[in-house]
Amino acid sequence: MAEGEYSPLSKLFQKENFEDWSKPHIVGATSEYSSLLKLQAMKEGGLRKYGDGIIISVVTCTEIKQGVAIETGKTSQKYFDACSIIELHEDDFKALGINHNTNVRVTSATGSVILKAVTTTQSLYPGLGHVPMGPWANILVPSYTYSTGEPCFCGFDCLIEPAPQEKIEKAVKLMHEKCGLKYVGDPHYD
Amino acid sequence: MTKTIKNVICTFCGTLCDDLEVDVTDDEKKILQVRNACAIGAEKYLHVGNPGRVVVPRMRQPDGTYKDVSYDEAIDFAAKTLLKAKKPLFYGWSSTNCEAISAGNVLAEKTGGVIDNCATVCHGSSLLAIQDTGVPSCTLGEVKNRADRIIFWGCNPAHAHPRHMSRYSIFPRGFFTAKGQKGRKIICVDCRETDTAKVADTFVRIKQSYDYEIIDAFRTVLRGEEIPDEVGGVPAEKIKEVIDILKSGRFVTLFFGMGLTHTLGRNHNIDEAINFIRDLNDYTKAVLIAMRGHYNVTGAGQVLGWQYGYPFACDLSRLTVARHNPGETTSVDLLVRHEVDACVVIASDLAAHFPFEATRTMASIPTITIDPHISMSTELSDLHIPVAIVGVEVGGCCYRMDNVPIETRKCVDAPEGVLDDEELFNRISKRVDEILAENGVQDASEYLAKIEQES
Repeated sequence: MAEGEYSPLSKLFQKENFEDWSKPHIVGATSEYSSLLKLQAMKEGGLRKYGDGIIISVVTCTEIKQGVAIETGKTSQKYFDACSIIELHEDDFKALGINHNTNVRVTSATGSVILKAVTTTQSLYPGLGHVPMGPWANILVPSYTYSTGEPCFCGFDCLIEPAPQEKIEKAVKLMHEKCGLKYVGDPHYD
Repeated sequence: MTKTIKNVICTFCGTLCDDLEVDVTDDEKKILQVRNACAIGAEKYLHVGNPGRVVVPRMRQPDGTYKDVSYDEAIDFAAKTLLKAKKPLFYGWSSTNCEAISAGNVLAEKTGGVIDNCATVCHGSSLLAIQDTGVPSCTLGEVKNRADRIIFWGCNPAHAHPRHMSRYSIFPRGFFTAKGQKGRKIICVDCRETDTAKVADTFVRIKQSYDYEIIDAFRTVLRGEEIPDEVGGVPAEKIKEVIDILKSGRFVTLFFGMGLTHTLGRNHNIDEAINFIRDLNDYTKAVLIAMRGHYNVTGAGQVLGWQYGYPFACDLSRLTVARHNPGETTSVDLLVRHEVDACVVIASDLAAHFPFEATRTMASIPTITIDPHISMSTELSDLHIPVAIVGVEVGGCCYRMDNVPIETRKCVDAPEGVLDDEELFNRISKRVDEILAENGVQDASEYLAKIEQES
């Protein structure tokens, strides 16, 4: 990966450019991205602190609320509430300087999305976050499969930054916008 | 008056619970109540009658809105799209019955497509490891009646398979396990203290993605060798304690889930887990079972396996030979590399559960989604064909997570005019045959050559 041509750190603040994403080097860039990000963070002082945000490892798993909401309907409010969240450890809330249920911007090597930071009964350790499986989580999931067909659903580094003013996008609208399709709404769920 | 249908098979997760009781109206049109089901299963049955269900196919217009079309128009569009494509992808299959999968395979063979099921993003790496190493396994009935040591590794049945613990693994009293939970020792290995971990006797918290090292440490201790003071965040004493618990058992069962298949190492993690179980068999009886997610993802693998020899990612685009090459013929890789030019999503939701890079390709190529409900995939597709819900409105054969086939049951009638998956695939296949005959060609490759020549 050449410096300047595609710098993961500058990409965080760059507008999402679909053309660039399809380039092959992005596909395998996850680990390089993570180590660069960590290196930069260490330079700045704290081990995981980067600017206003922190760097954590994220896993995506199924949850019962998400399971029930799938059956209710993927366009339902239930599904939105169940999946558009990121579960963090108390220490990470402190490191971010935010209260529970505050919106955060989560950025991985492949994309960026606004989620609500919440606490969980299924305890994590500091530096590990969990996003329930769904369209929001998959914006972040790197698609490199190590020749097995399985993308990195568990264990990819993300930058979490407080974004209390930002709004979480509804699933269908989010997918339409990210795919470059025009969102017109649908009488079945709007 | 209401009618009660007993022993209904729940078609949500791989546990395929077979003891549901469903109350329906006398005319068998509406479900009133469900008993014995978990929260997800109950929702599955009760939401069927909710207003707003799509009962006719919908086709996307250039302005982004959807227009209702007839089944005949939809079938014609599907047949033409698939024939025009050089390499269509048929992804999904895990939430439909085996009969429909078989009918769909016929269509994929005719149109030279790639067939892939949900295993590709869940237990595909387990299947690869099983091909490499073999699998010492058993049925869930044996687990209930015999197992006294249960390990949950990287899986969370409390959330993903809610009745698994009460029916098979932790609480039930079986023939040789008359004490139920008291006679069992439950071990949970995970990076999060999940709700499953809270009911376990021993919880081993590991550092995320250190599964391979820790299984390796388990094997080393089992062979009586020394290990470092800490492996992957787990103290050596804890590892030795777990091994002592396992060695003292009569029947050990390891249930593993996405925590092993999605993390670094993929199939090698499962490889190591299988070898660990093989080593344990020197001391006691030990088996392992994959926690399959969708209710018929196992069946999708079975049908593909007996028809083409491969459990997932089966490439039929050469029309005469089936190929399987993980990393090449797997859906995510095909989509990310833009190697498919049409997509059929059946009984699954590609757009909600694939990495976004793959979803974006799906949205940019002609896509047909066959699903009873509105999902992310239907909203990014050119055509959405609604079908009857398997296990609720139509029966059929499904495979439980331990490879036991179970015949599901119909409870209520499907909305008038709605086809089931099998019939739909048969009709698309028939239409494909008609189009080939109209053009005077033998197969899809000749058809492609002909339209290329004409243009």
